[in-house]
Amino acid sequence: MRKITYNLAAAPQVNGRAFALRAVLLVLASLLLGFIAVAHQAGRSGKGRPATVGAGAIAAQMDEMQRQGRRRAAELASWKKAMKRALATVNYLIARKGFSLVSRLDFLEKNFSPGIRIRQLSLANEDDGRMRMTITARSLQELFALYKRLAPYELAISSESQVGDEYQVNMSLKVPNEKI
Amino acid sequence: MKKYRIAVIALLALLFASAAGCLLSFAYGALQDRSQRVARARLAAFKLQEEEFRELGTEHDEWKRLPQELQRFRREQIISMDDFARFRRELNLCLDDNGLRAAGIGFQFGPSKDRVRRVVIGFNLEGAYRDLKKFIYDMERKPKMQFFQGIDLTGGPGPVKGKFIMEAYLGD
Repeated sequence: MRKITYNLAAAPQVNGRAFALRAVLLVLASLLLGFIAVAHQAGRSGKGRPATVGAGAIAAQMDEMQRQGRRRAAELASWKKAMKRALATVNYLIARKGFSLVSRLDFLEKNFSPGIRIRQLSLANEDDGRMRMTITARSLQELFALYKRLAPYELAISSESQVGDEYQVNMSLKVPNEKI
Repeated sequence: MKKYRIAVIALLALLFASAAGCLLSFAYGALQDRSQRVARARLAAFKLQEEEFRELGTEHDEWKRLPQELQRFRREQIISMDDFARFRRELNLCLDDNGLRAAGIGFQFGPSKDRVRRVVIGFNLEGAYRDLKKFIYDMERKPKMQFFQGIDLTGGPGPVKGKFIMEAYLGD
């Protein structure tokens, strides 16, 4: 005859060890989340906040700067209108006073070899500032060496002719103030 | 059994509270980031405006000083009528010092413009290249508003011939 077994417990039996293990896991998970939250905040405060000025103070200062800026811009516009011509005249005169003929003569002396003679030279104190000249050279070699040296100065050769054993050249070049 | 249920509820509540705290922390961080970005942008705009304002201020100051600078230029550079006689003496002195003689110095007085009159001085010189160059050097060194408009030099077997045109600016 088979034995009949009745389970008369009102609730399922709980495995205490398994429950304790799960409880520990839950506690650990909660602690981990809490730690993450705290670490996140700590990390943020560790970065340091930028130096903040009150938004109201900044806006007030910006308004003040804009107000003063408008006033200054208006004054500048009126001054520029009134003094533009005088200023342009003065700058023009200063530029012309700063144009040195002696420096240009020095430049020519430095670049011309003894076998080359300048027959005629025109120097003008102008924006263009081209030096126009007629030169003679004893040899083609010296002449071409001169062309090579003067090439960076917008050298323009208008004519070249051979008279006897001399070469005569009409040419011009531009030597700006900053290059001498 | 009841005490287990209470324990489970307590643990779940703890887990939920931790998760919520974590989420709130992230959300708060994001909000803080956003407000800091806005603050930084505002500060950057402020600094930019401050820089522009400073540049404008510098330009403003320069233009404010300009009338005095123009006055000073006029006083120190423009040749007064009293100085014009001195200028002519200096021109002759420079020529003498370099052993040059100017044949027929011509002065052409232009109209007055902004209380400044241009005088064009033309003359021809003949002499050694070094003397002519020294003369140009001496005249270029003069501080007042006088300068060479142009020169034409012609060299040959003899002395160098030069055609000189100068400009001088006289104040009325």
